[in-house]
Formats: sequence, structure tokens, C-alpha cells
Amino acid sequence: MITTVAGSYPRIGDTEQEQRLRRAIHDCDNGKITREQLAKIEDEVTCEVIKEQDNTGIDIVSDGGIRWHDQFSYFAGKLQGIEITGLVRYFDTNTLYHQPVIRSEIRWTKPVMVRDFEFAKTCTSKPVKVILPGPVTLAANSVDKHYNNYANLVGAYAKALTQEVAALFKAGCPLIQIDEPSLVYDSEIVSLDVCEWALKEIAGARTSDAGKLALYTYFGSPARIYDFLLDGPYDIIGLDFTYAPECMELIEKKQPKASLAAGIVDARNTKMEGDEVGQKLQKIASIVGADNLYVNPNCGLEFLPRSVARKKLEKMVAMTRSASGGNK
Amino acid sequence: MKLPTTSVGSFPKPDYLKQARREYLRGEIDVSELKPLEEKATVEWIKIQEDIGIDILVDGEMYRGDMATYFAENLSGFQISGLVRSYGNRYYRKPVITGKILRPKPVTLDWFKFTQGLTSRPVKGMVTGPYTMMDWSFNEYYDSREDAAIALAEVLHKEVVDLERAGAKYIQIDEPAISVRPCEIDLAIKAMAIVTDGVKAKTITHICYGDFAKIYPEILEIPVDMIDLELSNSALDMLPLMKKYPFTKEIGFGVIDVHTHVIETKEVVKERIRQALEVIPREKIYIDPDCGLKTRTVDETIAKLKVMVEAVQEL
Repeated sequence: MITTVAGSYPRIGDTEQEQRLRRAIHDCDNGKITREQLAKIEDEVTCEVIKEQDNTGIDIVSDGGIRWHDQFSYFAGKLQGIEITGLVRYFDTNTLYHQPVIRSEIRWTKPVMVRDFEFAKTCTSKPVKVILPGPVTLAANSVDKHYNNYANLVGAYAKALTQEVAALFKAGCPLIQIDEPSLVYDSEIVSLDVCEWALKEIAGARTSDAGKLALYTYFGSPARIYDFLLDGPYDIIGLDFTYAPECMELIEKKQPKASLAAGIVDARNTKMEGDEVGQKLQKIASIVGADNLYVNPNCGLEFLPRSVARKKLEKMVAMTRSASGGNK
Repeated sequence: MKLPTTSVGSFPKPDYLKQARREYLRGEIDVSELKPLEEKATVEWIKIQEDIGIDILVDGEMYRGDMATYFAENLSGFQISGLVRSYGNRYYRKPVITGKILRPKPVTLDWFKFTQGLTSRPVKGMVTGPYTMMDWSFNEYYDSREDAAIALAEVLHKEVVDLERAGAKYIQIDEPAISVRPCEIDLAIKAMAIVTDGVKAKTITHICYGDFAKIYPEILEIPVDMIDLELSNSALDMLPLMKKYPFTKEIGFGVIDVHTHVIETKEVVKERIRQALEVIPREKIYIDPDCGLKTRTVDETIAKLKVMVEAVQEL
């Protein structure tokens, strides 16, 4: 079993030192420090949270999304044709994101995450994964003032993501995670034909010697689209066992050919996981096989205070070690 | 007869109070130094509302930081979390339910009595609703979201009864979170039924952030007399729906966008009210801003409230 994160890591904590990024962003907004000075602090904090993830014992880390204000605007804001605008609620969470508005044709002009990936690698000896918002979720959470056609909008995002994924694999990224919460959150309204085409297009960027590609869903039940997920060309399928306990029945009925990434730690509540979660993990491992299993929180950890996020990862690692017989 | 005017709840804190709250949080002053300033600011806002000519007043929430955290700090069973992100570079401390929720003593009663004592006009009692308190808290104690919301409803019912006994004619139970999870509207209704059970005062619930289309007309089942809606922020796009499914309750009709520095013109506000009158009977309409005004400056708030009242008077 491989332990990892499913997204962001809290940018600030409770100590003065852990809050310097918040102060630096504030100072940069007010013109007291330069954009370059802020970037240096973002790098420092990125290393800090990578080391913190590393210390919890997880196997694969992420850069924590320290430079990201939210799940969409960092990537979408660096594409041509997109303007980042006002605040909108992020799914059914208590957080907001800046909404992308499509003004003209979406164009990917240069890599968005390659530099961030290369920097993150210098902070750890562990593999670093990169997490990107998927085309369906980006389309569902943007305002389209250009294409006036859902399929074309999803397609345009997919094309940009395909170029980004190719650039990241070329830079040696061992694992790219595409996040598609909208596939399960809005599962009644998404058109699976469009999704299938878009997600296949992105998977096409993977050459034979490239790293792995994961498709993660969370914030809802995958029941309606489970077959669709299984049939896709992804190496790893992420399911949210905390918000959709029925995931257990789904994998019992039909095992994924791909590896499973089980979101078993609730990244949206501070309640610490108990023994029942360890038992759940053992059951999942017995169904799909420990060799085929990634273990992670259900989504990014940004919803939690940093101290709780850290403890939850430590607990997850301990539960995983215990589920694999303590010999990991 | 002119339409009655009111406000949704919060007003901006004057600079001296913001400064004092910072000093209080840093431990530099104690509550005996903070409270007189909260009272001073409350007195000022009551005078401002009277001078502008508003009919149903609010205390402006000078003594509250965040609407959920304030109640969490004054009920037992809650702790307050470390900082979590709201958006961008904004962080807040979120309530955490860590034990059985109880009300050791009334939460808002003293402030209601103080404020009502300043004016002969009615002052609203203001309570944060059970569904919103649950949705905006981490839950480490109750087995389900429903259990937590019901426990909160039972406690908040006592607060509402206390406010009514103290003379509150209007009691607002804010449920801004209702619009976020349409699938839980039944839970929100069930919890509100507990809060307002047997209450004779006029009960109001405020709902915002909304994709109202997803919860309309179901919200008309919420057991309150009046629903207060954020409408102007969304270009009144609810009105066609209200034509289709008549709005059967009284409505607090938001005519002022609280998210912009721009002061609406009287003509814009009058036009919004005219549109309301086309779909909702006149006797059911109360005019107010979309939401609390605490994110605006004091000057912007006064200007916006003045425009609102003048527009109502001229109609």
C-alpha cells in the first residue's frame, strides 16, 4: 500500500513562523514587498510543508498547493483566454474560489506546473505528484462567455491539460493526478460522452516511459459513473470512501483493473479517524490487493487546521502500516 | 402606506472598536474596557438607523466577530479550531463540536435588552440558525449532521423563547447555509420547526449565497413568518420563479447589493422595488439590504441605507 495526499496542504498553521506566508501575501498586496520576495517565501513554505508531509511518513508528497489561492484559478489563470473574476462557493464547502470566465479561445502557451514540480523535487527524496483540476470540473465551475457550448468548453480545457500533462511527464513527473469532483458531485448533469472523450485525450499525452496518471473523484458518490471510471485509461482511480461509503459495495461487486486510491481520511472534519477506519482499510486491501492500493485523505487538506492535517496523515500512515501487517 | 424597512443584521464596526477588538484579542485590554466601546458603537448605530428613518432596527452586531463563532463561544460543547482558509488569503477559526451542546446561559439576551432599551422602535432578536451552525462547524461529537443540527435547534429554541419573553416582536434566525446543500433542505426545515415551535413573535429567516432556484419553492416550507432573501446581487433573477410559484410568506426583499462599494441610485432601488411589487403582494413586502453590511465602510453603509429609505418614501 502506498500512502499519499490527495491535494493541498494547509498553507498556514498556528505559530507565527507558520503564518509568514499569510503576512507576505498581505504585504505584497499592499506593495510593501515585491512579487519576487513573495515568491521566495512561497518556495520556503513549499519546502516546509513538503518536509512536514515527509515527516508524517507518507510515501508520495505534493507541493501542497502553497502558491494556489484555490483549486481552479492557479491553473486556469495561466491559460490565455481566461479571466479570473469574483468569488463563488467551492462545491458544498465553506470556502470560496475565484471563478474563471472564458473570454476567448483557451490557449496553453507554456507549462504552468513544471517549474513548481522541479522546485518541489529539490525539497525531498520522495516522489512528488502533481495535482491538476480536470476538464469537466473546470468547465462546470467556469463561466463560458466564448464557446457557448459545453462540449467545446470541456474540449478546450482538455486540450490545454493534455499539453500540460505532456510537459510534466517530459519533466519526469512520476504521478499526475487529475481531479474531477464534478463527475460525482454533479453526476446527473455531466455528459459522459463528453467526459470520456476529454479524459481519453489527456491520457493520450502519456508515452510508454511516462509516469502514472490518476483520476480522482470526491465530494460525492461514484455509483452512477462507476463503470465509466473503470473503463477509462487511467492507472489509478481515486474514490472518496468518507463521503460515499457505498464505494465499498462498488469495489466488492466489481474490482477496478486500475489501482485504487482510497480516500479514507476525512479532510473536511477535524474528528480523528478511529479503529473502524483501519478495519475499512483492511477490507479494501483484501478486495483489491494491497499491491494495487493507494491510501490518502478524501481530498485536499486545506479545509483543516494544519496541526490536525498533520495528525491525520500520521494516523493514516500508522493505520496503513498496521493493515499491511506492520512490516511495511 | 409606505413599505416597512429593516436591515439584515451586521453593520461595520467603527475604527475605535476595531482597534479595541485587536487589543482585546492580543490580551492588552480586558472585557471591562472592550464592552463600553461595543455599547457606544451600538448606541451610535441605533441613532443612525432612527435618523435615516428605518422602521425595524438591528443592533448591528458590534459584539460579534463571526456569526457562527459568536454562538459557539457562548454555548457549551464547542471549541474553536486553529486557522482554516475561507478563501484566497482569508482565514478564520471554525467552531468544533466536541461535546453535548448546551446553553449555560442566554447568549444574546442582554444585548437585545440593552439595544431595545435605547429606542421605541422594534429591535430584531438575532440568532444564528441550527442548520448553519452545524454546517459551519467541525463535528467531532454527534454521529450525524442531523443529530448535531437537532441538538442545536433545541438549544436555540430556548434562546428564541427568552428573546420573545424579553419583548422581541421580530426574531430572525439566520440560515445562510441552507442554499448550499439543496438535498438537506428537509433537515433545515425540521430543525427550524424546533426553533420556532410555539413562538408568537414574528419569525424571520435570512438566506443568502444562493442558487435559490434549487431550493425554491421548497424554502416556503420553512416554519417562519418571513423569509429574507439576497436578491439584488443576482439581478433579481428569482422573480420569474416567484411568478410561477407564488411567494406565500412575507418577504424581506434585498434591494441593496452589499458586496460592492458602489452606492445604488434611488432610481435603481425604486426599480427593484417596483419589480418586487409586480410579483409579491404589497402587504407581504419588507425592504432591506441583501445581507449584513459589515464588509462595507461606515460611510458606505449609511449612504446605502439612506438611498434605500428615500427610495421607499418616494415610491
